[in-house]
Amino acid sequence: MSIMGIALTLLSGWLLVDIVKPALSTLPKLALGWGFGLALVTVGVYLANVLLGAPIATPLAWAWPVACNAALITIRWIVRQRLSPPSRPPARPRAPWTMLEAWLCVILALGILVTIVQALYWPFFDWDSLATYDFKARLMVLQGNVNVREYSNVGIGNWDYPPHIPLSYSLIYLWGAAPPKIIIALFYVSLVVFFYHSATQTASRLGSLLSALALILTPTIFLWATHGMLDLPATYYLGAALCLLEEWARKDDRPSFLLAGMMLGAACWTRTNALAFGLSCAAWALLLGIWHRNWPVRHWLAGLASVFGATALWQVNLVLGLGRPFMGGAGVFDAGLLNLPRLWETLAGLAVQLLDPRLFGVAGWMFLAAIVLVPLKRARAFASLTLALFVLLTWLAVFYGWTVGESRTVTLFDSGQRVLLNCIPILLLHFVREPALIQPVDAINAWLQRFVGWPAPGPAANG
Amino acid sequence: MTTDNHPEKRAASQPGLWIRRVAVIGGLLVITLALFAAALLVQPSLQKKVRDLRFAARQPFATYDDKMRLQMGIAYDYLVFVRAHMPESGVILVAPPTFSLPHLGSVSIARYFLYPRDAVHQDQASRATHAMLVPGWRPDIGSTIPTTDSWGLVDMGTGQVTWMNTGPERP
Repeated sequence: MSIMGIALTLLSGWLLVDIVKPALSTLPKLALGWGFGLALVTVGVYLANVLLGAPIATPLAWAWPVACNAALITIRWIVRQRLSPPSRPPARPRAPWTMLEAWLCVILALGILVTIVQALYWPFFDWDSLATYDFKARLMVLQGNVNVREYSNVGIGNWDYPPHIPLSYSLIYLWGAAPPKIIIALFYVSLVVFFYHSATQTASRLGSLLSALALILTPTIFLWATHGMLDLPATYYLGAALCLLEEWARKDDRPSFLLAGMMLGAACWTRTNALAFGLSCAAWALLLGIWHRNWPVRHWLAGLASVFGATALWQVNLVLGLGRPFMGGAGVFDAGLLNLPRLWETLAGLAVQLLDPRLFGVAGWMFLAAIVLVPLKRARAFASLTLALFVLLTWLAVFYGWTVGESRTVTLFDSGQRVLLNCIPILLLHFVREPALIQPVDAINAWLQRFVGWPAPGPAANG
Repeated sequence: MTTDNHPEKRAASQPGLWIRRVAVIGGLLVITLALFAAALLVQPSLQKKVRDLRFAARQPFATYDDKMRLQMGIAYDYLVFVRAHMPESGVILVAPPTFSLPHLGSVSIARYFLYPRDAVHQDQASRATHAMLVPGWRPDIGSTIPTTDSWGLVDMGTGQVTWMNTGPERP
């Protein structure tokens, strides 16, 4: 039965994406649909519980996804009646796979398979999942309430984190016997599918596969994909949002902008500090829109409303329902605004972590290569470059503000590493957007095909 | 359609191409394995993943207990033992956070496995109804606690100790 619940979740997300951006092809639609569907289902269950007092139990776990799908099917039907059918770009003839592409595909498939097997086989055993996420999920099911009694005596680690992921685990328990970590495995697969789709918009198939491989084999992503924590879902939501924003900036594609805003909202529903990235993206979109004298005001406001709304969903409950004092920006910059040694330390922490292959594999080096080898004046991927720099600056601001008051190097190198993980997809996307960096790889691919007497690779896409 | 220009046709007419293909595929295989070996050497989390994968391959139908025992060691067995010997209304005094087996020095982990029983550290020892007896740490609750390095659970009200049969192979 869990499969049925997961299918309903996926369908609701797919319907939402199909309403907003019908021209998108099926696989990326499903990849985005998973994240949207899960956020829709958990927000609905949460609101029904907190506002209407409906217990978190099997009837609600089925009723809401079914109602959500029924509503979305109706909306889609109405939208389809009013608008002409979506026009999809004509499909390009597919070139046969080259040897290198097939090879990368095999490694990619193996990496995904190993992760899925690990996620489905192993129960929760990592510290934070036991102490926080799965514990909350079990208590929500046992007590039928999102605001479990143990919050009142802070009997659970990280009790004030948003309930999206624990609630998702609760739903899996209520839907049947599937291992709850299937949720994380699906985030992992969706992340790589959507990233690959974004990469192929301008790069060759080989370049896209190479960057997708660099993404999924990034050690921290590979590691967190089998744990039950927030890091991978947050990376998926922020990564997809940034890819969508980049698409908007490159093609003036407004549906992508709207989806990006909703994705950022879902990220805030997953992790509180995503708010900083949401606001940073809003500032980036505003500046870019003003620069180009073309920006979607209504979509921008909708995105901002999604970010603030998703944050408020949980923060209001924390203050009104659970009695936590409103924190605001307490503790940030409490040691003065400018602390140059700490700023330098934070900057060094960013560089050291990003370039450490044990943490981020080749991703940091690929981004560094993209900004060193392609001078700013010749950079063609302006949108991805500025977006990547914006999110790195946001990371810097968040961790500088967080650690400025005291010596919290542990925070910098533990939480910092996990939040930096969220920036990896856009860094890799910038690499793949620079034709000058992908062309040598394509040249090797073509030479190798000629060398072994197989057909030459197909032409690269041009976005 | 097969023409004289078709790559397979050309390959058939040039036997050296097959040698090149085998050599290139072999080269790719060697490069992949070398990169994997290098990653395995420098990345402890990858080593653990390989260990976990080997366990899954050897025991595809292992029970929850088997899997948790591999991940948590004797700490898991001990928590199962405590759950079986403590009333649901009980509160257990756990080892300090600095304890060598970290799972046993955490109230959060103890609460996860022992729910609805509660768990506290020494600063709230007055609430505790039971206390852990683990090798290397004994609660400060009087002189009646035996000092042997055995695993057990002490009832703070009666002072009665229940010992865990850890077997000869256990520490």
